[in-house]
Amino acid sequence: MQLLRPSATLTRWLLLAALMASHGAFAAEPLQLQVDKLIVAKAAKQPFAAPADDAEFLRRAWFDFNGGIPSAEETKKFLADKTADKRAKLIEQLVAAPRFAEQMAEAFNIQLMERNGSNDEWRSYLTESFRANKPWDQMTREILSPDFKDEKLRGAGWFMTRRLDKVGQQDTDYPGLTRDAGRLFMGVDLQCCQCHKHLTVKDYKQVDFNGLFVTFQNTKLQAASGDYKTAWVQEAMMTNKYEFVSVLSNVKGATGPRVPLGVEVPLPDPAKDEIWLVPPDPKTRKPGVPKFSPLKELAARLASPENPLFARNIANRVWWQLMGRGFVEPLDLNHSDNPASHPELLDLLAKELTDHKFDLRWLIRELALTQTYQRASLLPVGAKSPPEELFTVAKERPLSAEQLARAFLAATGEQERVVGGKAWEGVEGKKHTQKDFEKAFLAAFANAAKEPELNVNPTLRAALFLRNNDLVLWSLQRRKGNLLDRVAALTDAGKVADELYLAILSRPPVAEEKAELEKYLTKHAATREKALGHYAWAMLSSMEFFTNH
Amino acid sequence: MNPLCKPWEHATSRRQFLGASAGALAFGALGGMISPQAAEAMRKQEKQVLFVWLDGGMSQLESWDPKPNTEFGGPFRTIKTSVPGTHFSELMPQCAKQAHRLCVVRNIATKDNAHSSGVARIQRGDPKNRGVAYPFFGSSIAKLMGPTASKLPAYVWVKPGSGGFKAEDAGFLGPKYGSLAFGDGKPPEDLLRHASLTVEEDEERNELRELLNQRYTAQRRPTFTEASSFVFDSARELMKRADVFDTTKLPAKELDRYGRTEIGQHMMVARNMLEAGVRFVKVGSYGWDTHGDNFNASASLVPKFDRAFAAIIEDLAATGLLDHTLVIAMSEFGRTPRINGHVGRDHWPEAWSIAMAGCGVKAGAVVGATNALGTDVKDKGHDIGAVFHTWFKALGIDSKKVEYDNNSQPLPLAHDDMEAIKEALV
Amino acid sequence: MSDPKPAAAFIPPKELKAFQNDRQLCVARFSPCGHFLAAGAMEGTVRRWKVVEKPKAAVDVEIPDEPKKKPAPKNAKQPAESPVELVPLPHLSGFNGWVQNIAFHPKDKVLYAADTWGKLSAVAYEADAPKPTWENPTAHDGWIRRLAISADGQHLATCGRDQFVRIWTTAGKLVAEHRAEEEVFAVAFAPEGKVIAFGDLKGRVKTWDFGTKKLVRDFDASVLFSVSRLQDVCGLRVVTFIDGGKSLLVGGCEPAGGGFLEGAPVLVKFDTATGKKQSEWKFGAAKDGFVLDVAAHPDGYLLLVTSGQPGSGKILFLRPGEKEPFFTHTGVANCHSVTLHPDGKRFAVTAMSKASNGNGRPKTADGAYPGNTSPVHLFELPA
Repeated sequence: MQLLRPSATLTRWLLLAALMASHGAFAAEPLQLQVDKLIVAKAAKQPFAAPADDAEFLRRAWFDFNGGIPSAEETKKFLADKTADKRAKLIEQLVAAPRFAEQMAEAFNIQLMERNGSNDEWRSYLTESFRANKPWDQMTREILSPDFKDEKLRGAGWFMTRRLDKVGQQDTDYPGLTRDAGRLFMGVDLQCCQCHKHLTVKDYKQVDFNGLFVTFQNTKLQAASGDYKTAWVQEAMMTNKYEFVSVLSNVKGATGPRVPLGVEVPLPDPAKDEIWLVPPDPKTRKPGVPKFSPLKELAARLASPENPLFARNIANRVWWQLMGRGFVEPLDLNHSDNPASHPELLDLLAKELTDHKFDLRWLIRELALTQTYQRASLLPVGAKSPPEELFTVAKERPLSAEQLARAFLAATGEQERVVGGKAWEGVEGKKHTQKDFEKAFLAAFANAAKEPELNVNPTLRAALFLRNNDLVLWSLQRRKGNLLDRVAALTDAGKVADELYLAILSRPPVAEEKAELEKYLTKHAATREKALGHYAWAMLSSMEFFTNH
Repeated sequence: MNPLCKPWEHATSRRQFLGASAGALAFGALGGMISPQAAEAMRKQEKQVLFVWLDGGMSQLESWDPKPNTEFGGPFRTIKTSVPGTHFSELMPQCAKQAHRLCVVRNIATKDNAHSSGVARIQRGDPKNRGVAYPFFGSSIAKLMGPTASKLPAYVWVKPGSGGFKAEDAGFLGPKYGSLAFGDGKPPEDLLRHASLTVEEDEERNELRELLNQRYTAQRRPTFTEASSFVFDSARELMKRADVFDTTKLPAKELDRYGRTEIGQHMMVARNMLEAGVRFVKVGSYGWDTHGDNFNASASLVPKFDRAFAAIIEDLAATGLLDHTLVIAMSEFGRTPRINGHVGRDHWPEAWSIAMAGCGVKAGAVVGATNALGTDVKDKGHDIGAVFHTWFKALGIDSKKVEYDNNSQPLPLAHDDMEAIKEALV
Repeated sequence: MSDPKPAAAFIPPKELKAFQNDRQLCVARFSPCGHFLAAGAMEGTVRRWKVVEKPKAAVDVEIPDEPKKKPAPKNAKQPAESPVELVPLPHLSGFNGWVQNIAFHPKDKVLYAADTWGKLSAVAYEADAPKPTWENPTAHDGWIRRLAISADGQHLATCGRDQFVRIWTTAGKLVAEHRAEEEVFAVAFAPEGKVIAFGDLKGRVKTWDFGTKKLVRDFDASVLFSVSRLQDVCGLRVVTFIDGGKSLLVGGCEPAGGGFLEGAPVLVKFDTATGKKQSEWKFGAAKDGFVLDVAAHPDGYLLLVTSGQPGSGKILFLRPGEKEPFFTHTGVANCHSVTLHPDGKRFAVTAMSKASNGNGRPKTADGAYPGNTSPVHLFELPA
């Protein structure tokens, strides 16, 4: 559905400003309520799903803010809790817990690096930044203009250095880095306007690509040495604009570092300004350090309240993270002919986030408290295929390989052994570690490098893994203290069903499911333990377990 | 390490994979085929492809286009082939006997003389630059033709080294069209049914899983569950045919005919896969970049390829598969006529050869020629784009009309300005 | 750059001249009388030169017209005069592929040559337009990798890709043959008796008595072999007896990988009687390649030449009892063969031309594509 938007970005901002002024009372309302109002308003006559039941909500919130699942005990406790605002309290609890920062770091790592390698310092940087609730604009500046000498900040530089790693005899991929910076931090994919204007998106011009490109191309990847404990990026002196020609129209252009669809950074004038911070030393042949850092100047303007696309992008992505679909889709193709599904709402979120100084934790908490977030994934009666972009039903979202591994170990009761390293006495065979499981789950479930993980995506590889992998089947063998051990000790089929469903799917079984299990166990009475293992396997391999619904 | 032992001769340690109900593998009377039913299905004429990739650049002067007794000809003799007037290097005695089934194109002239860019460029067909990574030929066929009725994965790669799911080949088509690689001819992780399970147990627990999914999806959007069922089904099909991929079950007599070498063994696995119905099988061989000591190296390498390739041609012909299987053998370029400082040959995309056979290709043909010294093509050469057009045509795909749809960006299958090589086609 | 090691009265060799060709040469040998130099080329010919000594006072020697002779490159080391000239004579033709091996009869004026298509022939080398005395086009099925002649001039030995080792009379009659387990890369006669040593693809070296037709002893030179992916990489190139036959030298390369081919030159010394390894030398690093030829100097040391990647290669002077060569000459790269003049004062090394830096791709400015060539470097060993 493409609504033609004749106005350019600026005009739309003016319109929004007028809207905000007229809805003076609106501004005072908590954001969560405004969100729901706008969602409901847009959906008009469409049927909405009911609120998610406690179990679905619990599991969803845990995955989103903790990265794993609650234990059967914790589930039972939450379900039994009669307090009115228990959901809000749960959200507060999860967001305040240490695992929140780790889960955010994990999610952002997947989003920003798209499975292109792994680096401990980069992960630490992300985790620590989220732990300190660092504003997103600050993080962006630290990533796009890294301080490689600071022990706490050099990890951020891996975003760039990884992309500048040479592969075989191929040229350093400056265009790739340019494209990713545009996509991930501003929601614009400028890939197709390097050599000519974009052929299908009229907003994206050659100058937009090249303004970013010139900044990155001005850098050189250096190996770690001396003060630099990691690979780092060295900037050269830049005093001239970069000239380019369109291969289609032969029109020429020139630009210095520039924010795509935004402002250009003025270049220093060697005649007037001091251009060297540390002048080059002809005797020692040491290159100088220029005073003008294109990366720093560009990053300052890109990650700024003055760049509307910056706030818009992160608001869109955070919405996608929690709801499974951005207002602008694809997430990296924001332009005037691809309008948001809820333009007013997206503008609101962008503005509010900017006003709150890009505090992501604040935004996430607000969104988690909306009815929109807390809707069921069960379709309302009569609605066969509600349009996803109306958010009338919660969308099933993908679980990362890391979340699956964590949930799997928790569900099978092997967490203490594998993650904690305890309770191995009397256990035969190899001692599996958390790393073993992570490695195996990543190999089975993570996408190939540079493939964004955006949707629920069952693969052949994952199916084979679940069917035949040693680790999977090992976890389902009875062992002291694990799930199979607990259920094998129970004689009552009803109790078995309770235990299995609460532990694995984080919900109580319905009557039909209890009956089914009873029938199954009766049939396999002679090999009950094995049968229990197979049943648990079926649950762990089911879509219900595999998705974040 | 004992240098005299060949790694591929080690028995691979395997878990029992078919459990108690392991069916006896049926060895048909026809040239060692695995299952008569599979052969029958194949006679139903579904088109398939065998793509042999000799990574590094096999020397055309020591194989398809020898120049004996010339300045750059090297030490080897030539031999007559089954096509009167055509000679191959003495290093290819078996292929010489199969020449009447082959189509050798001797005037290939391409642009890239580097491996890291050349390998991908050649396998992607080096089309006009449209800012996207084009798929390798296998991914392309996987997309355009999909799996055969066998439901086995459409694009399988038998190679030395690592296996697994290789998404890179697929380019803009997306990882779904990547290859399923069998490293060292072995199946990817987790292909074989776990030793602790019987077939019945496996079937039952999967039925349970489907049941749970049905209940889950009863009130939800069906898309994801459908996808899940599909991949679990594919997994089952693949597991059922695990015998096709098991190199320990290859009969000794066959191994001798293909050669007890890495490429021989992999070529046998490839044959089994084609017979079982895999749409596109790529066989990879590495180490052909003979910059140094090219002649002793070729003397060691070329006969191994020769034996394996001739054997599979023979077998495909005997079973009737050759009629609808397009066979290709090539590298990313040829090798220099000039012999360099360490008695080797360097890269030579300027004039080299590829060999084809089977579906849609003219049998017993030699297309084009190089000059007397082999330094250049006579008249005009054919770039890889033309070769791609030739392959598509041979498979019955009109590469001038059919296009890819990349998120509503239409893209030609191969280089716009090039044409199929008429003389190579039936 | 020379690297002199103080040795009793050893003065480093001096290059006299480099004689250009228009083809690569496989091997060059001086005739026993010292008046001729012959070389097998990487094409079906044997090149010949007359060795002309010039008196110290310069007299210009008339060089007959040789249409195929390539002009000397500008930067060749050309002293104002060389006391020795190699005057080209017409080629010997009638061979196919490469003539990789030649050998002179110790007394008769006969030259034996073996090509890579399997032909073995004998030629009276002094004649102007020699015709073969005898020739056997199928002495082997394909590549004859080595040709040796016994010290007493009675027998020839050949070995080849067809896995055979064959012994012939110098009249060309087959005396004995042995089928080895793999292709055979090198063969040599023991100084006395009817024993030869041969080395195969996998570095298995054996001595064989061709009188009794019995294998005598095994020697393990498998250091000269490795498997790299699909390739059996044979590093073995040369076997030769020294110390009157008491020791057996096996030379070649310890391959680190196939394809591009990396490996260090290695020489191994065995005790002939027991088969035990006595010494092993490694002359360099992975780029340095193969020991390709060995010559024994009457003063008791060995001259070895090595060739590896383009630009790598040395001439080594080694006493078999010592751990290191006592002299290394690195001025000539990619040396393929070395031959000692019978007077012990001169030697010649065939090597690779510097022109294209060993790379097969470059064309000249006007688009021509010339082949590489092998200059013959003539050295003098000052007394």
